[in-house]
Amino acid sequence: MRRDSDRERRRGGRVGVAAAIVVFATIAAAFQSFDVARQLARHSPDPFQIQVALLRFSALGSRLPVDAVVGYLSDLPPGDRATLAFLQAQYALAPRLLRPLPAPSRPDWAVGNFSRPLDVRALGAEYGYVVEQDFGNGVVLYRRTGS
Amino acid sequence: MIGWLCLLAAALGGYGLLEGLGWARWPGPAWVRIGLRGSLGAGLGVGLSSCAFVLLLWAGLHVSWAAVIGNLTVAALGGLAWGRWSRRTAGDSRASHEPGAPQAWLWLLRAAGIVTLALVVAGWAVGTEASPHGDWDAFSIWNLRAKFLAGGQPGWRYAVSPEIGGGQLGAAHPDYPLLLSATVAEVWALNGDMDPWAPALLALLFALLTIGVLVGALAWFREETLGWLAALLLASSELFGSQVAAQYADIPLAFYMLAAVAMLVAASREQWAPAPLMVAGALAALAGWTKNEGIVFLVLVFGWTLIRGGVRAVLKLMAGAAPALLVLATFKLVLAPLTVGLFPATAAEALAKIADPGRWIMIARGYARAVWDLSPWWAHPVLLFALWAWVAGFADRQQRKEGWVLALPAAMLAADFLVYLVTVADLRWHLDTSCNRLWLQVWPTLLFGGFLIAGTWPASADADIPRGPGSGDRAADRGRRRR
Repeated sequence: MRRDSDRERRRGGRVGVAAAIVVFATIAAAFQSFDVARQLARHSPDPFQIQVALLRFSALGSRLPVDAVVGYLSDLPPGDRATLAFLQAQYALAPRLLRPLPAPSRPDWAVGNFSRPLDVRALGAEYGYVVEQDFGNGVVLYRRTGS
Repeated sequence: MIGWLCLLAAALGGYGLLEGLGWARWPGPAWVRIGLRGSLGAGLGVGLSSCAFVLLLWAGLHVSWAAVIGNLTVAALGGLAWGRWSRRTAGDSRASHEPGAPQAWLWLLRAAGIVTLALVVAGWAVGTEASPHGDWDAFSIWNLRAKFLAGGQPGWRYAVSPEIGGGQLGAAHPDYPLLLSATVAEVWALNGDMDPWAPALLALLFALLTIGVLVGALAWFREETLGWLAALLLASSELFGSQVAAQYADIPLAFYMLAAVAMLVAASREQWAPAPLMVAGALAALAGWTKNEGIVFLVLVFGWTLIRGGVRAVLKLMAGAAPALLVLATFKLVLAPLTVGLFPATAAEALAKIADPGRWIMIARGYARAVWDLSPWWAHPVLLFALWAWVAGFADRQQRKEGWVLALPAAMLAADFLVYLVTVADLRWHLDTSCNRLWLQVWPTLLFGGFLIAGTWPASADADIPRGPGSGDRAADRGRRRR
């Protein structure tokens, strides 16, 4: 009986050591995980530039009805950059819905989201839109011709 | 502020529903009982209110009224259930709670758990401060759709429009279920702004609820020590910590999966009594209402219950699942656009992909990588769990039978493997962008299942603690028999 008791005590000691290892290892890992998060936050804040997009489109957004479907024009060729630029604009302008142009039905309004200086009037005219207001920084509000 | 108060009302309503159902008289400390039921109830209430919110919005109500009525309906139902039925006799849980570890160790584990939780919260805070709108899927799917829903009539339907994301595959997923987006939208609609801290706080809330259920359920079914050990492994893992600030639906899904599995264990201990099965059904259906993978999980839960508990158990499960399941089915069949997305057009194409050994190897490597990336090697959960199992052993034969719940996360991983095998998307891209999150979805449930069958702290030689038949520890039982 005493041998059993000793065995249990030894086992309890081993379990205690294992628990201590788990405690120290997991706390150290949690600190490391926090440190990674802190460094990521410091070195690449807002990695998808969503805050920037919200600022770029804030003035334009106030000109549009909140439930509007809005055409979308861009100078970027299809690819990852174009997808991100579209999603940034869509998130910034939601709850309005963006519809890339050309589209079967042309909304009354369209936004231009441009990555470089270009002839925004000519580009809009290609799709049947005129410039309503150029907000600068590659953001343009278009109105459908004849609407 | 009003949005948060309404959500709190729904969470309390969920708690009231659980109290009203009265499953398992609690043998352990009140704070663990309240913590577990509070975590389960909050998830239940918030999930059910999101169902009601979408239905009311669909019925044409103003968005604010839909949010208020949705939340208050759940609160009222919970209050009614609590007041009316909470005193009725409940099934006895076979769990008998007793702290196996010496008090000093228990307090050390509790303190360590609080420290790791604080670090998770701190990591979430710096991540959210730097990137308040979350990662890619947050601003392109979950929060974007929340903005549409919060916009109210008639624009809320853009949340299920095939046009979102510019109609590009993988850009916005209008067919995804709406639990998370609807919950965010409720808060935004009632607060009158679209403050990015709302989805961020909800992401943190679900992470904390997940840990609450993990600790509470293991404390209930086994002992508190094991709950804290599991919580330490979960909260310290890079995979979990890094995803809290991402504001994705994977942690809410992980919560509902863990909660449903915990309730299935409770149901099996109570001879498939109606109350825990109904709660399990409701939580599993809410997993389906969170993400498409949750629908697979829901089907697996039905299959598992049929095998383990029989047809009657499935009917009880169905009774609990019915409200959320009806909303989910209506959403999928009527509202959500049909997307073919990831699957091959013909059986021949699918078979050709399955027959390609290169795909098997690539997916197996992806899985191995996801497991390896859980934590640094010196704190890897597999290593630490193996260490614990080595010194503490495993539970007795009766208890180990409950390890069957591990079949659910295992089957989820197998289903995910099959999807990868046949996906028409570029496999490398698909694995790189989703594999670790699929593991995250099952990660708390795997830890729960693992510690459910793990050995406990050996009872001290001079303490003669009676244990219930459902809380056995093989090594300790052997020791007692010898004595």
